Amino acid sequence: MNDLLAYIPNLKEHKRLLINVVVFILLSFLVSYTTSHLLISYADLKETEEKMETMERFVTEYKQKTEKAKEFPFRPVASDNVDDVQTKIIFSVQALNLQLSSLKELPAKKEQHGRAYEIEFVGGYNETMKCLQKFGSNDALVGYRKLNMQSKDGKIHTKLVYKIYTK
Amino acid sequence: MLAIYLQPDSVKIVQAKLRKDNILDVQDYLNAEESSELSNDKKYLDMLLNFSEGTYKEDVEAFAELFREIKKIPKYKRENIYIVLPDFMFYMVDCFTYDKDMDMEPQIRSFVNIDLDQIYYSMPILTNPAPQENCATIYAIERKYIDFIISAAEVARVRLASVEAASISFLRASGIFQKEEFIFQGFEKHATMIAYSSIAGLFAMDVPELALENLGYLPERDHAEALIKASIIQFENTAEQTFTNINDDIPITLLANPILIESFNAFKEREGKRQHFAPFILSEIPENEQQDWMAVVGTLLQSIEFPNLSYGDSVVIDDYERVLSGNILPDDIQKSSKTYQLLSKIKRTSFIGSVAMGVVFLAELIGIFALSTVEIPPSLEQEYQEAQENSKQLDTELQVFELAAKEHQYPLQGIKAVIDNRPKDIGFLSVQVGGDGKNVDANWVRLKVVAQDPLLFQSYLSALQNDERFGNVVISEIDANDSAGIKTANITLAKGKVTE
Repeated sequence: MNDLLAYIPNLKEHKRLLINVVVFILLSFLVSYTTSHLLISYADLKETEEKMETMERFVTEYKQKTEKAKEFPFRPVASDNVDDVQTKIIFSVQALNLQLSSLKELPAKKEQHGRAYEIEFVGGYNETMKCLQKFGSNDALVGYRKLNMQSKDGKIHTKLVYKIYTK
Repeated sequence: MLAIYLQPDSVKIVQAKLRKDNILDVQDYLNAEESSELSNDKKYLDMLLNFSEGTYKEDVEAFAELFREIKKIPKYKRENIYIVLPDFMFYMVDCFTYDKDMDMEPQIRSFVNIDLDQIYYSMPILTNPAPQENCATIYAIERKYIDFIISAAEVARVRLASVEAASISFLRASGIFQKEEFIFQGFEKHATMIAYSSIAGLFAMDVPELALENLGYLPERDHAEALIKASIIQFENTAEQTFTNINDDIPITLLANPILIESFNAFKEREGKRQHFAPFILSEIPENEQQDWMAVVGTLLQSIEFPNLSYGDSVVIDDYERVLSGNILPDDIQKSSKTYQLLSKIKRTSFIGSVAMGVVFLAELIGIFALSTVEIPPSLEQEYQEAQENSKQLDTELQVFELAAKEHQYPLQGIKAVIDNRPKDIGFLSVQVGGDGKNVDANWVRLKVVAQDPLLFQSYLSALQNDERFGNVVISEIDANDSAGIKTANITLAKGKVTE
């Protein structure tokens, strides 16, 4: 060390040595800084990739669900629109010259995602079958719970329990 | 490392690298007079021998031209300079006994006729052949020559690492120290006989009468032959006094102009086998020429102390002998040179480190840039946002579909199935499909049918059983209406494979 210190006056003749050492030290600091930055960037990249993967998976699942939902011809209606569907059902019964005997809503306690009704009407066999095939509106999801058809006096007495499904 | 052997009639230059495994790799060698890049008409050793105080500065400048010319050759530019001088340049080369304190100055003072302040000396060979006396070989040279070389090196701005005698350099290059050997260095105006013994060391004796110039002036060849023989006998006598029990007729290694050797039988009769480099020296110098280069190559191994374990059997040396550096430069110059070498190493290492760091820095910058460009595509962001907004509603819809599929009793399919299988003469009184409760699938369809012939019920039952839309089919009751002769039957059907 003393030898080196004794040599310091001659360092003027070693500008390149000084420059090399200073540049080396500076670059060492820069490299350590960029290395830490690179590691952070890499961690961010991994996080972004994971996020993208999650998003893509979610979007793919969503699309699959959408495609699955499209396979169904009927859709649940908004709760506010149940009465409209009921109106259409009554209209369709009357339009086929069927005699509406009764219509009542069943207790809503047990029902999920919808409201259940019991309807009774009387009419010819063909009209009754037409009514049952095109029941209610075109796209409202209506499920049949129970159907009872009896032949009396040449007429078909039909009692149907159905449910209008809501979102 | 660059070794320069200043001979009266030529300058030999060798460039070599000492590897980490202590192998000396000779990379280049040349005679200055054969080089187009160096002046071949200047006798640098004469300049050294004949400079005067009055023209000191000019003489130094003229001598520095040697270093300047060498510096101009790109491959030599950054090398440290190792000077080798012929032994006749030295004021004294001799071996002395020494005590434990190794204070040699009283012995040197008793031997030389000048003040010790006027000489530099080194002790490259130490022997301890117990029970015989310890011996040290001392090389002493007048300071004025070394100071002259140092001044010239400073003027030419070259790094002077060493000045050493040719004899010790030659001995080191052979790698064989366990021996007795005579060496003759003959030049035009100077000649030296050197004796070496592994027990005592080495001494040199000037024999100017054997210089080529002197032998050539003798009127008759016989006189010259006689003179050579007489000088050799005289030298052998001196050697016998210096080294006890030395062998007779030791061959002489002749380092002289081939003309001198070939001209006189007295030399040829005593000439030893030509020597070659030790195995730890790698070079492309032909083996028959290696002897002429040993004095210049060996100085580049002076940083290695012999014996040396790294060489194994490549070095033949007694346990009691040590061969060290014969560098005669003053300590401060040697230290300065070593410090300079250290600083040069730092400079080189820091440069290589800077380049490496620079490359890493750039690579990392590119990496950071490349990594930072990876972002979530806006289209994906938008799709994800839309999916998130609608997902809950969609999930609810799918739940509703599942619930609807579970709750739906497919009455129209049930009615169609019973009608499809109905025999012609059977009528329906009532049909009930679906319902509530646990057994709804087991009692999916309940029929009340009429027929004149009760066998028709069985026929109907068989048809229904064969329809996969139904599971178990059971006639639970058959009634007969006596008045009209009509039969009624209650049939219960379980749900089979029903689709929309």
